[in-house]
Parts: sequence; structure tokens; C-alpha cells
Amino acid sequence: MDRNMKILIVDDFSTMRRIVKNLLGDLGYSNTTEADDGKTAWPLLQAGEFDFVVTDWNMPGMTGIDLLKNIRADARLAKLPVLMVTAEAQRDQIIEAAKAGVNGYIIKPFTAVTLKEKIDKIFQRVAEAA
Amino acid sequence: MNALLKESVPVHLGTLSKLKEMVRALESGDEPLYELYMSQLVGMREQNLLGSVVKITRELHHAVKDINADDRLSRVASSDIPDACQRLDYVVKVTEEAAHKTLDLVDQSKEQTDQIKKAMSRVAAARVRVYASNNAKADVDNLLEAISGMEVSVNMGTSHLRSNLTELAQIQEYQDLTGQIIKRVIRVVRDVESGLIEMLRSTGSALKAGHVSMPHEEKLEGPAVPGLSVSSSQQDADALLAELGF
Repeated sequence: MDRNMKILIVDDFSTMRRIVKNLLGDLGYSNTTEADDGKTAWPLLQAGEFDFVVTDWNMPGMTGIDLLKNIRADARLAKLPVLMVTAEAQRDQIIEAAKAGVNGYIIKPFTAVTLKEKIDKIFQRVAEAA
Repeated sequence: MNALLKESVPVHLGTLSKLKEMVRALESGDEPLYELYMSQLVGMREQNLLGSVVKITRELHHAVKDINADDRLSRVASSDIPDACQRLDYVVKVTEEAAHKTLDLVDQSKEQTDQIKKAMSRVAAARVRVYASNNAKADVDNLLEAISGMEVSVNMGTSHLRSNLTELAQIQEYQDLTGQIIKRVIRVVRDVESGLIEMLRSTGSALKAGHVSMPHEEKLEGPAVPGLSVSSSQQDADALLAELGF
């Protein structure tokens, strides 16, 4: 797994962006960029070559699920791994995210261990598929 | 009261002129004309009464309709407000827990820094004794021992402090969850506000409905609140995703 991979953290709460950024830093991933919703994230994704997206669901402007759908519908971004980190814990929403093509789903509040597990699993699958 | 007076003055004036005409018809012995005026007078009276009844009925109908139409208010009163209170109670609980955890970690960190400071003092005292005894072997040995002790304290202390700092950062996630819950409660309060303004407007207040923006319906559930929402844990989510082939 490339520790230098470029990660986009999308969350409307700056505290949560900081927590995710710090946890990723502890795991050895320090090449991160932040966006406060899907709308801000979208041009960044179009412009920069990101390797991984960690996004919240419920955000103003563009929600995480819409961002995920846009990513999957875009030929250049379609294969970008997306991890949803959200307070939305309804069964229907998890299914909706799965159908939209999410690579991992973490329910807030979460621990550093869960984040590590999900990231490891996502990139293990990416490596298997390659 | 003023409106009533304004409405009744022309009515009375009409009645008065009709009565004067009736007196004139009686004086001139024109009985059919008198009868005609009499029936017109009765008709006028009936028409006024009927008009008033129609007006009152229409107003009553509108008032009842407005109250029924605003079922948003009854929904807010019966379910949204108790729900909001429970959510706010949860916010209080979560913020309290986060504050306690933060204070516990700060207390632990203070103990760690005190330990490091004590180890430093032991080294300083041992060094003074070495200078005073002009490098007596026992004092030099004592200084070396104090230095070893300080190394252990600094190593242990800084690693504890580092882990406390990480935990402190992690605890701040309560702000995201409680922030989302509070935003939902604010939407409920706005609902109540717009419903009340709507009611005041429909009952004749000067407030205009145009000043109130109606909040749109929230589709997402938001953070799970124990006892309020049926939600999945991380384990449930993992199991569900595994079922779906993830």
C-alpha cells in the first residue's frame, strides 16, 4: 500500500476532517486534502489525481452519496476507492451506498482501529483486482 | 367596534329615509304605497341579517380550515418536539462524557509531566552534590543513576503524553455528532416558528406569511440516538455489506 497516496477528506464538520486527517497521519498517510462538501470536492477530484476518497454522507451542497454516484459515473474517476464515514446508520442507507458502489462504510462514532481495518481491506481488494 | 359603527350608519340612514317615506304615504292615505315600503323595510332588514350570517359563516369556515390545514403544527407538537427534547438530552449526555474524558486525560497528562519534573529535580540535586564533593565516586554514581531514572521517566512520560494527545483529538468527534443533532432541532424550532406565524396571519395578525421560509423535509435520519432510532452498529453494517458481497 502506497503511504504517499493522495487522499481527499470530505466532511462539512472541520473537527471531523481534523480527526480523520490525524488518524490517517497516525496510520502513515499524510498526503491529504480537505473539502467541506461534495460540491467543493468535485472540482478537486477533477483537477487533482486522488487515489482515495473518505467522505461523509450528510452534507449541504452535495451529499456524499451524490458525490459517490458522480464519481462512479465519471469515466476517469469510476474506479476511485471511496470510503463512507457517516452518522447515517439506517439499513436502507447502507444498502443505497453499497448499490452506488461504495468500497467501505464506517458508522460514526468510530475508532482508529475500524478506520485502519477498512482502509486495509479496501486496498487489499484493489490489489487483488489489479 | 369601529368597524361595526361604520357598517351600521348607512343601514340606519336607509331605514330612516324609508320610515319618512312611509309616514308621508300614511299621511296622504296611500295605503298600497305604505304596504310596499313596509315590505321593502322588512326585506332590507332580512337582507342585512342574512349578509351578516353569511359573513360570519365564511369567517368561521376559513378559521377552521386554516387550523386543520396546519397539521404541520400538530405534528410538531405531538412528535417533533418530544423527539427534539430527547435528542437534546442525548447531546447533553455526549458533551458531558466528552468533557469528562478530556479532563481525565488532562489530569493524567499533568501527572506525567510532574513525574518528568521530579526526575529532573533528582538529577539536578545529584549534580550539585557531585560538584560539592569534587567528583566523589559515590556522588558520581548517584548522578548516573538519577540520569538513568530520568531517561525512563522521559521515555514513558512522552509516549503516554503522545497517546493522550491522540485520544484528546479523537474525543473531539462529539462536536460533529452533536452539531448535526442540534441542527435538526433548530429545523424543528423553525417549523414551530413558521407554523405559529402562519396561524397568527390567518387569524388577522399583521405578520405576512411571505417573511417565513418553509424548511424542507429531512430525508436522512442523522446520528443514531439510543432509544430513538432503529440503527445499525458497525458490526451490523459489516454483516450487511458482507451479505451484499462486499
